Amino acid sequence: MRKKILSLLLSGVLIASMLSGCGSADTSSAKETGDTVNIIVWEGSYPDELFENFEKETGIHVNCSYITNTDEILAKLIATEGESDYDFIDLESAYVKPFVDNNLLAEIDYSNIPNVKKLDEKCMGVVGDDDNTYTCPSGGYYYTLVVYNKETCPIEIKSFRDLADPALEGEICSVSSTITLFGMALTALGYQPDSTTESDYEAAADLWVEIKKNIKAFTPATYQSLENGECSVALCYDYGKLMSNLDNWDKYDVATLDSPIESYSSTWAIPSGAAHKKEAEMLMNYMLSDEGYLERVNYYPQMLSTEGVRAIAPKEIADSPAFNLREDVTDGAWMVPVSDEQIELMDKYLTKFMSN
Amino acid sequence: MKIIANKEYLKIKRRSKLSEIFMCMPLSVWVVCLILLPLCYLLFMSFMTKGPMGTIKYVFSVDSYVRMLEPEYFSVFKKSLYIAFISTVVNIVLGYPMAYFIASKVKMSSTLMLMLMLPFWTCALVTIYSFVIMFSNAGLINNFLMALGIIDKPIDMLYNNFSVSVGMVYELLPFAVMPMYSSIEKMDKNFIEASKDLGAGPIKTFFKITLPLTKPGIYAAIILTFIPCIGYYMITDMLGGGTTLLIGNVIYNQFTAARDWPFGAALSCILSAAIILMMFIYTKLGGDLDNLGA
Repeated sequence: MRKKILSLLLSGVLIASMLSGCGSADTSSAKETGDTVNIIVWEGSYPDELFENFEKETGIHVNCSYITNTDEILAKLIATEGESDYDFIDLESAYVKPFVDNNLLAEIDYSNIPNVKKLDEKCMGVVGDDDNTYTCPSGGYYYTLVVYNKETCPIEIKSFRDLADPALEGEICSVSSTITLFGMALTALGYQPDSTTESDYEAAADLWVEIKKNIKAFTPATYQSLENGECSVALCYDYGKLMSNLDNWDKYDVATLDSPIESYSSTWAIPSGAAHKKEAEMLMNYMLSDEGYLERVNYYPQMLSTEGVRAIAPKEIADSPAFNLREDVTDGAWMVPVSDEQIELMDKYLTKFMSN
Repeated sequence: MKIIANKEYLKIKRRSKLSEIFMCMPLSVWVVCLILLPLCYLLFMSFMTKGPMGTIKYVFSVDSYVRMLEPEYFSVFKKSLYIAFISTVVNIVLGYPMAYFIASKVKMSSTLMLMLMLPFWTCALVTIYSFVIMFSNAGLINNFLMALGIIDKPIDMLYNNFSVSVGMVYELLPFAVMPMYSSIEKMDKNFIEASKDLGAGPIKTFFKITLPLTKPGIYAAIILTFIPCIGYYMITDMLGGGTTLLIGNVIYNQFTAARDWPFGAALSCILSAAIILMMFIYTKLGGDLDNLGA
């Protein structure tokens, strides 16, 4: 009898625990009080203190989750027609267009974000949302660069195709984003970075087959591999982090390529079904304030895009070579949205060159 | 009298059946809801069509299965099987002497088993990342050796076969050792004594007596090591530099960057089918699935 009761109880607990995960998250209490904003951002981009200080100033608690993949958020929002547990998303520029085209984002009320006016004019607008109706810029631009160690790099790199030089065998570490890999190869071969012609991707994959022979690692932390001496060349996003160490200023440099490089920006957006839109906008405003911006910059070195933050930022960030790039490096930099057609081709040829 | 006894018997039988059902219920609910239903959905999804922006169109199609016949995917499967095979061999070769040693040290065996289980206590991602920190050119080992003056410049230990092998062994060795230990421990030691009495040396005794008697443990270790190895792409990605595309990478890509869930589901189904086939072969060879711990 006791066993029977126990098994019944256990069944009940199991079923209850499983069913508790079903259905939408209960945000009703938060909705009523409006004291919480649920955000999903890239890990390592924002310090916890930033959100704690925001809570101290406004009384709004920031409930933070981390993005593993933007495509996952996109698919979920399409499936729920914009209904989301999140009120705030970190959105990289390549993804803005599909989010906007599918009506997944709410229009931003800039009367709640007066600090946006402080941003440099060149930061405004993003591919897919030219007038920032649905996305708020978080700051300046980032670039995908070919960075090399001046002492150990065996050749002078003048072109992206030079990365296939046999002298660089085992010397390169690279980011692994397909948009970056194909975009850089396509432009190096004279094609458009957002090409949808299959033969262009075939040629880009052939170039990558050659470059891959020299790749030591595809890693998100390319600057660490450079600093540790594992590689002497990197196709990287994190030049800013590398240059946050003053000793590295004379040690590393950026190659000037004969083809344009990738540029991207980070924007903030609000899903169309967000429960705490105003709170999300208040958070955006705080993060664009001089103090908020400085906290972000100190945690993750990045371009300084307001007069206020330029005046108070540490010298090693303000004067960093990473945020004062030569014009010949950034000239003609491209920023493209990513479409389903491109993704299909990129996936096909990524499998081809990676399985080679 | 007989009728009453029969009724009583039927009542007791019905009760015990009911109690059996109740006893099985928690596990049955768990298995159905969290294993069978998701697997059925995966199979269903694999026959659907890819929709725009990572969505699924509920239109029947076998395109995902046809696509798998392309040579690239065959090459990826082949590489995954090869890496799983090598890792399994390394784990068995290293694990068997270890299991034998643990089984022979009766007093210390529980402590040794506890030490062997240590990798299970931490998240695999954390332990793998700790190897990245240890093996890097500016890592613990290189710094230590350079401080002692043993080496002048760092030894390349990261992003090569060495680091991948260490990671694979560290993560999967317990799966190999446990069933082999159990098999060796259960073995009747009198056979070894008899072999010695009949004049066989230690090597002959090992190959003629110990190895055949512990075969079930070795088979179980192969199954338990090989299966997780096929889908284990984290180690090759983080310690090997991610230059080799494995089936796990392709499946992950389909559910994320490639936005093709039906194809990802089809690849997962084929991988599951391959594993079931291996289990089937294992049972046909005399293996016992009820006793994978040997």
